[in-house]
Amino acid sequence: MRRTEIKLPHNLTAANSKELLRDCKRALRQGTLCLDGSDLSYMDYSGDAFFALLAELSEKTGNRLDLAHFNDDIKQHLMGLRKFSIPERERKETTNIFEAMGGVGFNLIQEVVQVFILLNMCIYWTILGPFDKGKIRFGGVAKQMFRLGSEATGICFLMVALVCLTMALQSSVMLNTIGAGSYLASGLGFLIFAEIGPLLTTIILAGRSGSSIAAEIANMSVCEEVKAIKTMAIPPVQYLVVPRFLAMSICTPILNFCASIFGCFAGFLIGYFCCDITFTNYLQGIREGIDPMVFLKSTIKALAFGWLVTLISCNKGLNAKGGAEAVGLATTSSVVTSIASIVIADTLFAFIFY
Amino acid sequence: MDEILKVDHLKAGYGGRTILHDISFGVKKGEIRMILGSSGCGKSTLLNNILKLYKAESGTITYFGKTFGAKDGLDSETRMRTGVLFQSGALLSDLTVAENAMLPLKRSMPYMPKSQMEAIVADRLEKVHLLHAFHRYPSELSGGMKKRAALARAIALKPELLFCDEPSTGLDPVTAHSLDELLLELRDTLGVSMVIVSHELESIKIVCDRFVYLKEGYVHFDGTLQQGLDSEDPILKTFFSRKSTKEPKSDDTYPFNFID
Repeated sequence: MRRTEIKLPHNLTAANSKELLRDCKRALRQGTLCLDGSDLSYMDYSGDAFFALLAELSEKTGNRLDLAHFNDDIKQHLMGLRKFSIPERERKETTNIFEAMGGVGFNLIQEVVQVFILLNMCIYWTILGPFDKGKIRFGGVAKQMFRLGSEATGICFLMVALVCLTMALQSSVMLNTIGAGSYLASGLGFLIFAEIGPLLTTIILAGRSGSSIAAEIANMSVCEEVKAIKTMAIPPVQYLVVPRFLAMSICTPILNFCASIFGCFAGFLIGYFCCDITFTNYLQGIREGIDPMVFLKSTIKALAFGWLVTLISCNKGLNAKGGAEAVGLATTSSVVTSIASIVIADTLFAFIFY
Repeated sequence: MDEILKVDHLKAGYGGRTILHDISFGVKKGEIRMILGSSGCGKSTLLNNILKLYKAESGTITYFGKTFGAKDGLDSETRMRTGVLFQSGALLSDLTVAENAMLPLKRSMPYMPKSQMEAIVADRLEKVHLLHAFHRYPSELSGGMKKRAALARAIALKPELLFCDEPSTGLDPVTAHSLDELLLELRDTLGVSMVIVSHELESIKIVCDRFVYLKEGYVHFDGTLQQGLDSEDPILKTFFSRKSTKEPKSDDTYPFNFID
């Protein structure tokens, strides 16, 4: 049988033990290994593991491991080294693809049900609650209107205006080629109020205000504040969700309307410079494109999307469990779910309304 | 003395894992009852279950003669007769100390004039020696001040039963001692009974009347502080003497073959 002799260095440390261990293991797999420790005078925390791993390998392969010329201190230390075994990781029950899909579906249904329950509770606390169990916190509603609505005004207006500007520019090129530039206003007006306004406004709100709601409530859940509210006999939905629900119910249609007007003005710039449309003609075109029903549908869509953003974000926040990671997860998940829900709801509205 | 809280054969846990098995004990009027045990033995889980913040698996809890089943929640009336001091304080960060302490008042007496509520809150803050922080936000308070502010909120409605989850944990010894004295003072002035979860030995020796000692989810000992201190039970002796119980090391050593 092959016998290998390796001389250990003066110091056995984490810096040199890795390569040495690899060489020793290779040698021990092939036959007897003799480690010459005549120079070895110091070893750090990695030394224990070095000798323990070699001893285990020796037992496993049946090949001898000889330690020659070690000084008494190290010999004493190694003789006192006790065997350890790393506990096995608890194995989670594996699920097949159908079980996993079922789990995802179940969670989805559970979340939809929770959002509907939250909607019911919000309606109860808004309409019946004040007569029964407690007042609406109008101060809280005003504060949330400022934080969730007013502070999002700038970004909503800018985004809607820029998208409308781009759309108007692209449409004007096509309309001018077929000599229908004068139809820009009516077409654009309809599209902004029926689709772009509510969709873009609420998507921006989902990213800005929805994430803020989810993060704030998730943090409160994690820091026991929601528990504290419950122990004071205050329903968390009444205290945390209703003010945000009411604030978003008021702010979203207003923001949608104002952002749509902004979008129309952005479109006018293109109409004026690219299609030679005067302001009076542009306004006339807009009025032709938007009848009161379009305006009403736009408001209903904005309101419904605003509710989706608020309820989904609040639900994610209230269900957050754990630490800082849970807050991040709730925030990300609320934005993704809100935007996906808005797009799905928009498609449904398109079939219902038009 | 009558028992104002009675936990009867409570079995509870979470995530499909049972943490507490067959827990039974009672709290008499005016006494300070402590729940003791080493970290991870289920003390806070027990408190959360008594407060009905989690749903238990089985067993009942009786508050002021009214029994609640495992899946029942506490009614508003019972909640208003109890106060809770959470481990972190759990003050609402967007409200001032006074507004935090005013929350239970607003819930129980929504039509009370604000000036009257402020007077009540000022009295409670005075009791916890924190009147000077009336208009401050939680972020402007130290750890000990946060706990005292949370205590003021917990006693806002003059509860008959106060629950405290590790009140002196994380505080320096002087602040922890003053908080313990404050709890005793509140018991004496307001006559409030208390259930305190703790593993701070100094606090236990100051405030405890009777205690239950939890071990691996079971009640290992139920008795007065003196009985506990005099007990020959090795686990209690270890707990009160602050000696750690080390796991025995394996005798199995590696068979190194030394050659000279």
